[in-house]
Amino acid sequence: MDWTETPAELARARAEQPMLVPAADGLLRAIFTPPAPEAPLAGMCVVMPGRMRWMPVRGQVRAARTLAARGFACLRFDYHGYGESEGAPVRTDRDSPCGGDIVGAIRYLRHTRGQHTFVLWGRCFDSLSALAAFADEADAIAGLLYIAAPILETHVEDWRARNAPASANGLIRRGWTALRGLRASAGEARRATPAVAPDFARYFAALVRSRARALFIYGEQDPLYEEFRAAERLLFANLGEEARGRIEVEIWPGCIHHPETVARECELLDRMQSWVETLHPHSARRRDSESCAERQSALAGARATHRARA
Amino acid sequence: MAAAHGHDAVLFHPRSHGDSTGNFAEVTFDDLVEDAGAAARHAREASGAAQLVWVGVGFGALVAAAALRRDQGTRGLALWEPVHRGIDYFHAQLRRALFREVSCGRRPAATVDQMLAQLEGDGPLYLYGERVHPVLFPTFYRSARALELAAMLEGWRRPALLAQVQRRSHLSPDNAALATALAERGAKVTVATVADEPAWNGMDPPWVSDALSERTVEWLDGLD
Repeated sequence: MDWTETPAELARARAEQPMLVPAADGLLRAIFTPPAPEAPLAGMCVVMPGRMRWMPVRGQVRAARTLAARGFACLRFDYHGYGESEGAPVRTDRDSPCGGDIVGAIRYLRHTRGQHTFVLWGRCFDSLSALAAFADEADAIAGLLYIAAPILETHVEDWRARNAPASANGLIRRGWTALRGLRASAGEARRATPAVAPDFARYFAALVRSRARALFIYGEQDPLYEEFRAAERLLFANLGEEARGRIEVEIWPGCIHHPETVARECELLDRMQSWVETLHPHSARRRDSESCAERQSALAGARATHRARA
Repeated sequence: MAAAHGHDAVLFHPRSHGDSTGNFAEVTFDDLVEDAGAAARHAREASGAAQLVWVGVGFGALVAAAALRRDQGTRGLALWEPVHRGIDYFHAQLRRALFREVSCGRRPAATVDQMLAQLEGDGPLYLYGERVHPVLFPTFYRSARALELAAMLEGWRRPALLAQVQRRSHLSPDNAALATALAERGAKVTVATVADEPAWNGMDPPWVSDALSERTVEWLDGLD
């Protein structure tokens, strides 16, 4: 990434402290970036998990230093089994989020650094792991970034492949299922997508019950967007007014799960960072001035432009 | 594992990499070598050891080879799946990016040669789907494309470990030639082969080889 630290960011880099965080599956290698003493304190610590704490494209390194220069404490760490952390490596998939690592980090920061309020930063698997931390630490979490992350119990494409009729027997089975589906409104045959993962539903319920704000972002062309649309019907549609006010959703044109250009990657990182900054007590005025409706309107315009280009 | 066997070890990120500071757009190969020298000075201060062993992984083999030429107190050199020529490194990166693009159903806009031509010019080059260095910058490319590992190690006569990590069980022509050249010059060369093909920039799940670590530690123990 073409990024030169500002003097304030460089000062935060020099103030960084290595940390070993005890968690359920071993010691996690972490770097704590203390907030700039000259900045108004946010009173929050941004927790940034990662397979390697500098990936992708060192975005977390940049965000940690920038946010620390603006008054946030930040902690970035490697999941157990990844990077320099202890533990056996496990494949990162939707069935086994690393919520325990994040909970371990929260508790360690609370006991050793006096941090009591946390913002959870992440994309894809990291977001899922962050959401899982709500099961144990919802009261301590002030914000969650849920960016292009899984929601359903399996990949939509895998599910469709498994349910596609590949033979005469398959067609008969599917027909029979469809007949049954006529009687069962939520039956398998009537579903165009797999079910919402029970764990996601449980963690999401904990988010809804909490006082945390959240930002969900999906790209219209991300395969995961279909997962969000299913959740939109089943979960988001039932949110009360108070929760709707806390949980923002942005649908971006194109892809954001794997951004196609570095500019897009940076645009996403900038948005994640600017959203975290709105949680700073001193930025209340900014938050009021940029309402969710205004932002959605801007995104709708961007989507139209993107479609016209395509 | 090295530390568990009583060897002090220092891992570092050169400038503009990982958790270190600096802008990758401005980095040259010489900068990486300079940073390796700084890490070596720190290692000596922290450990009190007079002699160092360099472990170069992939492209890091070229950095280690250049760094030890500037460092008189080097006891040994371990090369893990070394890159033999700078240009090979760039070719491999570009091919990987093209493969990723095709596997995602996209038609690449340029061939490897066209992309290299772009790097010869002024423009940075975006590598599709690359999560570590998504952009190659002309400054770095120009500083590293002509590097030749064998030439850089012409003066090396001390112990060397050459660890090949490839699917093939026999040494690749480049590795075999390097091992022979070093041995002919009087270096004691230990060869290890690990029959595997990790994605060096892959993340999920991370590639770990106990065999490679154990062979390296055995070799380190043998240097004492």
